[in-house]
Amino acid sequence: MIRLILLFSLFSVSGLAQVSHNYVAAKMNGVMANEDGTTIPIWGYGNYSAGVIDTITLPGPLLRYNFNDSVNIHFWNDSPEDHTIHLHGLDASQANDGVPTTSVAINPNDSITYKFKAKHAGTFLYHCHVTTTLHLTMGMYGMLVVDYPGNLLYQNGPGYNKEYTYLYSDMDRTWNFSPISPGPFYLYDPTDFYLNGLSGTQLFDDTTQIIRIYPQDSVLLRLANVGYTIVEYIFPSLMNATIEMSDGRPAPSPLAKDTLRIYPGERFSVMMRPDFMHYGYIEVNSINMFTDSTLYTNYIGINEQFHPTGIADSSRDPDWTIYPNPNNGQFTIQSISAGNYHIYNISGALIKQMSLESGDHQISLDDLNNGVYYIVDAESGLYKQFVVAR
Amino acid sequence: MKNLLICLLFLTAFSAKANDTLYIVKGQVQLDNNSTYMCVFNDSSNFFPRNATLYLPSAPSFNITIVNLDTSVHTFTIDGHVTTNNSINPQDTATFLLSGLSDGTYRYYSDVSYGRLIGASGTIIVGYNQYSRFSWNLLDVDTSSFTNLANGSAVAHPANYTASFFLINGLMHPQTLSDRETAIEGDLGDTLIICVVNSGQMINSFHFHGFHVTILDAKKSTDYIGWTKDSMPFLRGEAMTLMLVANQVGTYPVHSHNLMAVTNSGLYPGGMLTHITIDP
Repeated sequence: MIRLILLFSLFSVSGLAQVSHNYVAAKMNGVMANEDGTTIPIWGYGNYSAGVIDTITLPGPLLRYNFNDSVNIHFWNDSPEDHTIHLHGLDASQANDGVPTTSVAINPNDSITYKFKAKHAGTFLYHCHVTTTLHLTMGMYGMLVVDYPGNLLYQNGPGYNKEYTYLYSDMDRTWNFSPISPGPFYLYDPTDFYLNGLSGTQLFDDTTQIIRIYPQDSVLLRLANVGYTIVEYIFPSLMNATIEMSDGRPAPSPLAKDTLRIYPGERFSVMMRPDFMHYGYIEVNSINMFTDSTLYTNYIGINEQFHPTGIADSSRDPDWTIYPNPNNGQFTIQSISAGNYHIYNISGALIKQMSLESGDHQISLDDLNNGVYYIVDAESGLYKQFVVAR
Repeated sequence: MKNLLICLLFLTAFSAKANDTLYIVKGQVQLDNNSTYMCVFNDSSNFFPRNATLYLPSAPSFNITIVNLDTSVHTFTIDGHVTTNNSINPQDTATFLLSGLSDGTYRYYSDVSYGRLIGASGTIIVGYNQYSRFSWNLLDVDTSSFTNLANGSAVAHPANYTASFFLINGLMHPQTLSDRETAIEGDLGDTLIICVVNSGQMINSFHFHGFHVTILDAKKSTDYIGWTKDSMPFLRGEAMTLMLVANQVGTYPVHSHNLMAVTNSGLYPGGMLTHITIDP
């Protein structure tokens, strides 16, 4: 899920603080389409207004507030069983903690307003805390973000110009198909592994999941794990990844890491500030808590449009062409749309920036060395590869 | 009897002298309707399914005597501190001098498969005695595998090791709510120290409701010393010290967020779940 930062705030911190209201409902009659075409029953959350509840999704809707907001989440349980919202990491008071034994369970067709003060910017979770072992794998969770003004991570923290959120979860689908008799909970055996409710090629079919990052960008990744397994992110070293925050608190100092393991319940804010253009992947491994074995690998594209299995989606090929290809540094771009285009070499170094009108264009780059190059649509990220061979 | 005296590091001039005795004992334990065996370091010669926690002052100079009441050879091991000349024969006794340990949490254990794999793993807490200190020793239990290791019919956990019980200090929820070393209690404004050792096969990830805690010390997750978090992993063999500042009143759960582990033989709630209670 991408959020492009288009406008920088002109407001002071205190000026942004407000009373915020959300309307969230729980339902137990959802379905999700899995990568293999299976339709899986889910329970979950959806926004509602005027008594009409949005279709519930996995994960639930992203809840987003400003730093210092006084938050009111109006929760309606439109289902036949008890549910709650636990505000994971918000340090809410006991009454607003969403735990049946220490707070209160919300009965069917009952409601409550959860309140908290957004005292810390960062990445958080919300989830049901009724029979949590079952209700989580059924899908009752989502991400909650508290933004600091001015596109800063936190007060006096680093800034960013793009943001992506990835909520990791897993599922034992046999439980979803039989939630009344899922078997002993210690036999949970995950069958499906999701980022934002998507898996495998779905993370490329939904192009908003692909990270579009260029040199000089400062891209924030909000990463959270609400699964039952470890999630391991392996960042390409060219991304210069640093961990800046965890669990809504700044790191004592930024921690440079190419591999980050996130355990159930944890959240991390990672900045990527590449010096060079790069096409590739963040590898996302799901790892068993007992055996350390890798159960599944997802991939997040970095400017790369296709899953590494190579299953191409022609809809994400640009509709313009290059000929001849290979060429001697002189070539034609045919049927291109008006816009800004960049040429990078295979190491990611920026070679040329061009502003082109729509139509055909003769390009002469006689000083290019032999090798592989990319022409990239700076807005969409779609690209064509060409080869110079003299 | 063999009597070993191992000086670990230089003695500190201002350290206090003390001594204690622990007994390595193996016995039968009942977990709900399941029976299995554990091996533990007890502070008496009678089997009780809970390892003793040693509370030492800062800069300790402490003699610990280990009496091996089991029928097999064991060791007394502290990674990075006691790793050699530390085996103890059956019915034998050995004494170790613990000194030069900085403030923090340490794991001691018997480094034989029929020891550390079935529970012979405990906690040493050094310093922080100006605060209320709590100790969590985490252990997951596959009852059949524990039995096989205890009776010598296996030398390791099987590849399909399947834990069905998840214990803090040998207790499962709701027992964890009434144990003074396990349930966290304090008054508003208190600083509380929680010392965690993971003696099990499962990596645990614990979540604190209502509070963030600061990681003061960690033997495994060293990258995160000094970080303030509400959820953190306790890796296998981890020994970690956490500081909780009680800044709001109420009762809040704290539990493993690998949610298989908040069950007892598959039933929720149970396992590694206890409470933090802060009074006005």
